[in-house]
Amino acid sequence: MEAFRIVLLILLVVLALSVFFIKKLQAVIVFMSFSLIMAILWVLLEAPDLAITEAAVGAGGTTILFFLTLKKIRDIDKEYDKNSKENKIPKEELDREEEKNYDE
Amino acid sequence: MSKKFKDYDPNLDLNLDETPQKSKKVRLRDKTDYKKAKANIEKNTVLAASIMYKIFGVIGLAIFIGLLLYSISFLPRFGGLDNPSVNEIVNEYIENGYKNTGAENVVTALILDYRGFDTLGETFVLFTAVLAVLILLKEISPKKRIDTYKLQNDIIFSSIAKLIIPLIFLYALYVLFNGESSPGGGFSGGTIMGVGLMVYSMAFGEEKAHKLFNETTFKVVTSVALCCYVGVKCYAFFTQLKAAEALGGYIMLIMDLCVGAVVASTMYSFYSLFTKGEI
Repeated sequence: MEAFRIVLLILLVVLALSVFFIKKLQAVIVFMSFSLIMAILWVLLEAPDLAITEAAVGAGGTTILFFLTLKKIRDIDKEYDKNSKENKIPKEELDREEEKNYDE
Repeated sequence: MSKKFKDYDPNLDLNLDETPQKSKKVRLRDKTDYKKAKANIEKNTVLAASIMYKIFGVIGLAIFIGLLLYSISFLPRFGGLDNPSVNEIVNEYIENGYKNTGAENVVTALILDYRGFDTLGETFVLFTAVLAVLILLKEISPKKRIDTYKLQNDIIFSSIAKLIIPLIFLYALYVLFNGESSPGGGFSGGTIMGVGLMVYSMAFGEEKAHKLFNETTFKVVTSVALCCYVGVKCYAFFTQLKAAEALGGYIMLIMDLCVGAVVASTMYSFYSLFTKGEI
């Protein structure tokens, strides 16, 4: 069990340090996996109440709320991906189209 | 010059039959907020992509993690018998917990009987949090939503949700009712029920969810749950009855259900205020 715990703890540190290099949407998924690993660690530390609550809150509640926040500030958009090759429409035109929808 | 009262003309012709002219333009506040938000996001993405931010961030976080791990290494071994945390209080809880409270789960016995007023404070905090978010996010006249993709039209999601939602509620009730004898209790069961309500709202539409749980329901449920918790706990406290005997031994079940109701309505209210601006 010791090796399993050490692997999980190293994974926690790696996840925490990786937040600087990724975008917002991927950071939310990292947060969710952090919560999942914490739930496993609570079981290994013999606290099953905390494990159930952490799994329900972390991987269920706060992740959904984070995605909703990203949607509200309009940071989830498929067309804005710079690396996609089929992206031919410039960003300003998409902004204008969205503004038209917003005007109602 | 300010108007004095004797200048008031009672025969002034007020057009009360005309409705105020509807302005066709959007509220200026919304448009400028949208542009400011876009500009802010672009500025922040430029900042986040810069190399100095990444380097200093990693170094600072690594120092912080090192300090935390170094300070934890001084703690005694987990579960050791010579720990200073093993004293007569802990022995009292473990040995006489079942006899005094009737709950085999010592954690539930602690948070509902020995430390029952702390749990009351926590439920008050949850209630206040929803009130604060209600002040910030509530829209008096919710405008038309931009996204036309509704999750209830998604075939995969709706057909799976119709199978899973009863199971989620059943599991939540199981965890709530088994707070005494197995891991679980008020907080876990309440959270699972809140998530179940979220999935119901996503799968069956927002009008149906509004009929099931709206603002009056929220107020009634939380007020009744908090008053019931206070009443039951004060009854057991002032009559000096043990929790295994008060109300026929069902006192912990009642307290579990009250806490679970408050937590579930809190979780669902946060989700609902984020999406549609009303509970």
